[in-house]
Amino acid sequence: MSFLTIEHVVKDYQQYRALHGISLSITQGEFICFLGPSGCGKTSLLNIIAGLNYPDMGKVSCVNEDITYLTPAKRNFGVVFQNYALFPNLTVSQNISYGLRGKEWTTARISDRIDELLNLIGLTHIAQRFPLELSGGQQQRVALARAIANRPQLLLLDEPLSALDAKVRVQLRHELKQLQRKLGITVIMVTHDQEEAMALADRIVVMNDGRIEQVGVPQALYFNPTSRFVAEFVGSMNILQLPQWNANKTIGVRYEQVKVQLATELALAQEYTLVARLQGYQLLGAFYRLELLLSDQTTIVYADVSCHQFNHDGLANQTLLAITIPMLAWCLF
Amino acid sequence: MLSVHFKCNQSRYLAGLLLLLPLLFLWNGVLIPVAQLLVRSVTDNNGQYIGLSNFSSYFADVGLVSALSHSVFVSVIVTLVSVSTAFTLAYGLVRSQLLGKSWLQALIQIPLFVPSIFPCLGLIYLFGGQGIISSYLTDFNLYGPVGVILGGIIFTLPHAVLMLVTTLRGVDVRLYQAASTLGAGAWRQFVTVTLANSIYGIISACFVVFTLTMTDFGIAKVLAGNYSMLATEIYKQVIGQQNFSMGATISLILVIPTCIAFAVDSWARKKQARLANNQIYQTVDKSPVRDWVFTLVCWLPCLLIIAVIGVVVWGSLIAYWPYDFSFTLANYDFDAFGYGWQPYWNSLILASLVAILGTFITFASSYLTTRVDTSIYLSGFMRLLALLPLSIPGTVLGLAYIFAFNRPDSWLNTLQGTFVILAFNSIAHLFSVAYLTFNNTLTRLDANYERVGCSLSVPQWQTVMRVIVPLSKLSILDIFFYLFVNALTTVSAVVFLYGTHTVLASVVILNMDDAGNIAAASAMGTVLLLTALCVKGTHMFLIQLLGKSTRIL
Repeated sequence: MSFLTIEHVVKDYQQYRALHGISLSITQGEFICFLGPSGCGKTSLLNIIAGLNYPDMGKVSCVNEDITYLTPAKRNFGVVFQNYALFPNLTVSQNISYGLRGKEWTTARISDRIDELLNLIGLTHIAQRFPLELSGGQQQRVALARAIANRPQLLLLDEPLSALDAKVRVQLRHELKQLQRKLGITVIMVTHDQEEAMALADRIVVMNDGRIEQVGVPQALYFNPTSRFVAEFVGSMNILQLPQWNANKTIGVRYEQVKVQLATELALAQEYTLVARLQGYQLLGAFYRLELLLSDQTTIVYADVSCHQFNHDGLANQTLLAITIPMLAWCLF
Repeated sequence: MLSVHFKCNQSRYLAGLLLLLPLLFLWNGVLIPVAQLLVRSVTDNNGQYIGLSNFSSYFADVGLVSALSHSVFVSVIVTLVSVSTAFTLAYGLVRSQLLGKSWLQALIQIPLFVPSIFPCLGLIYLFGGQGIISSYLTDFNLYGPVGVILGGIIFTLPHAVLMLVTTLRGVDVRLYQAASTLGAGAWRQFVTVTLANSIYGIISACFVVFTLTMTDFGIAKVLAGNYSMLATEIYKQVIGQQNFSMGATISLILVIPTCIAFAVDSWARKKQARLANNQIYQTVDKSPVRDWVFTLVCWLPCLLIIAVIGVVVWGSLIAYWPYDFSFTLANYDFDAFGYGWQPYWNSLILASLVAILGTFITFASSYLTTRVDTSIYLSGFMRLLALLPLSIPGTVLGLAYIFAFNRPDSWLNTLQGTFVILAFNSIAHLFSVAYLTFNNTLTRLDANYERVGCSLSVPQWQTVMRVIVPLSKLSILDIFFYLFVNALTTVSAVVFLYGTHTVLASVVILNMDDAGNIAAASAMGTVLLLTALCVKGTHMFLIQLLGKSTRIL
C-alpha cells in the first residue's frame, strides 16, 4: 500500500514554473532520493511534502488522508535542513528537545528521550555543548536527532551531507542508512550527488527542469536510463552518432563497457568494432580513463580500462586500438 | 477553493495584518506630516492655494536668500575641516600604533552624548564676550559664522570619525602587503590603496556632515547671533511671526540638500560595501616616527574637544564666570531658575519611552519585512517608509508635526504637548537607523530557523522568542541605548512640540542660554552628560555580561 502519494503537483513562482505536474507514490519504509541538478525543483517538492510550501495545483496524501494544505505542525514529519539550521544559542540537548512539547512530554520523559537519541547518534558526551563548538559531522547528527525526536512517520532530508568533507560524508552516509534500517522510517532525501543517491536509495527519482525524468532502483537508472539526461547525470556515458550502426538514434555507452584491445586484424574483425587512436589518459585510482579519437578525426570516445590491462598492453599516446561496443551495452535515445 | 486559498496563505495574511501596525505608525508619523508640509508650502496662511508664490517670495526676500547662502557656506567649511580632521584621526586609529588608541577612540565620541548646544556653551566660556581666551584677542567675534563653524566641527567630528574608521578597517590588509611586495612606497600605498579604497566612505562622510550642519538647530540658535541661518529662520518664521506657510517653504528648501545627500550617501555606501572586506581586524607594525606624529596630530583635536566640554562642566561648578572661580553647586539648584528638576525627569521619561517602544516597533517591523513571507508590495512600501525619515531633518519633522496635528480636525490634536506626541515624533525621526541595523542582523541569521520550529510543531512566535531574539540581543541592546541617548540629547524636533508639562532638559538648556543663564544651562547639560555616560557605561557592562554568556556566537 502506498504511504505517501503525490498527484499532479504544480508549483509556480513569479518568473517560472518550478514543478510541472509531479506524480509519485512512496511505500512505507522506503529510502527515496530526489536527484537532480540545482534548480530542478527537488527542494520545492520536498518543501511541499513538508508543508513548508503549498502547491498551486495537485494533491499530496499520506495514508489516504489529504494533507496538501495541512500545516507542517499537523503532519509530524521530521526535516533536516541544508546547513542544519541548529539554533546556535541553545545547547545540543535543548536543540534536540526543541520540538518535544505538550502534555505527554514530561520533564522526565524529555530527558529520557534526549539520552536515548544521544545514544543513538553516539554523542552522549556533548549534550551540554553549543552547536558552533561541534564538528560538521557532529552538527549533522544533532540535526538528525532533532528531526526524529518526536518519532515522525517520515523523515525529509535536504542535502544533508553536502556541507561535509569527502571522508566524513562517506562515513555518515553509512550511518544514515543503518539508522534508517534500525528505525524502519520512511526517508526522502534531496541530493545532487548521484553517487550518494546510488549508495543510499531504494529508489531514485531523477528530476530535471521541474519534471520527473525517471524513477527506479539504482541499477535500472544506471544500466537502463530512459533518457539522455538520466544517462549523463547518473554516471558518465559516451554519446555517439554512428549512422553505420543505427541510422535513427544516438547510441550511448558507459565508459567501462567500451572494450579496448590492441588494433590487430583479428580484433578489428569483430562485430561493432572501430579503430581509434589513444589521445591521452588519466590514472583515476583503480583504472585508467582513455581518451580515444575515432578515424573520422572528430569523435572522442572515453573508455575505462584496468591498470593491469593498461600495463600489459603497454598503452601509450598515439597507440592504435580496436574498440568494441557490444550491442548489449547500447542505450538508444 | 477560496477557503483552500485562504488556508495556504493564512500566515501571509496574518503577517500582512501585523505589518499594517508599523505601516500605520510610519504613515501617521512621517508621511502625513510631510504631506502637510508640502501642502502648507503651496498655500497661504488662510489655507488658500497660491501655487509656488511662497517660493518666489522666498527668493525675493534678500534676508532669506542670504540665510540659505550662509547655511551652505558654513556647512561647506565645516564639512571640509571636519572630514579632513576625521580622516587623519581615523587613519591614525587604524593604520598606526599611536599611544592611547582605545582612550582616544572613546574620548572622541563624547560629543555624541550631549546635545549639540552643549559644546557651544564651552565655546562661549572660552571665546565669548567674557571668554578667557577672547579677552586676549582683538576683533574676535564668536557670534556669527566663526562660532557656528567651530560648534559644527565639534558636533560632527565624532560622526565622521566613526564612519571613516569603519571604512578604513574594511580595506583589505592583503592589498597593503601586495603593494609593498610590488615595491610601492608609503605615499604610493596611501594613494593607491588607502585613498582609492576608501573614497566612497569619504564621500559618504562628507554628505552626512554637510547635512548634520545644515539642519542642526541648536548650534545656530546659540552661536549664530545676527548671522541668519536656515534652521533658525524656520523657527523665527513659525514661533516668532506665526508665518506657517513661509516656515513650510523654508523647510522644503532645507529638505532638498538633505535628499541629495541621502541619495549620494546611499549610492556611495553601496559602492564602498563592494570594496569592503570582512576580515578580522589587522594589526599594524610599530614605526616610532609615524606613531609619534600620529599621537600628536590625533590627540590634539581630541584634547581640544575635551577641553571645550570640560570647560562647560567646570563652568557649571563655579560661582560667576569669569570673575569668581570659587566652587559652588548653586547652578544645580534648578528651582532658582524657575524650572526645577522636572525637565530632567521629563527627559528620562521620554528617553525610556522612546527606547522601549522604539526598539519594539523597529524590531517588529524589521522582522516582518525580512523573515516573514508577506506581500512584496506591503514590505516594499514598509522599506520605503522606513527609509524616509533619514532624509527629513529633525527641525523639519518637528514643524511638520505642528502642521499635521496641531489642528482641530486631527485625532492627535488633544495629545499636543504630551509625551505621546514627543515619543511618536522621536521614534519616527530615529526609525531608519534602528530599522536598518535590525535588518542587517536578521538577514544574517539562517533563513531556516523558523522553518525548523515549524516542522517540529513549534509556533513561530515561540521560535522568535527562544531563538531569534536571543540571537539578536546585542543589536537589540545597541538600538535600545542608541534610542535612549538620542532621545535624551535631541533638540531639533522637540523644540516645536514640547508642552508646559513636558519641558525637556535639552530644551531648558536652550532657554536658559537664551535668558543669559549660561551657568545653569551648563549645569543642566552636565547632568545630561553624566546621565548619558552612565547609560553608556551600563550598555558596555551589559555587552560584557552578555558577551560572556554568548561566547559561542
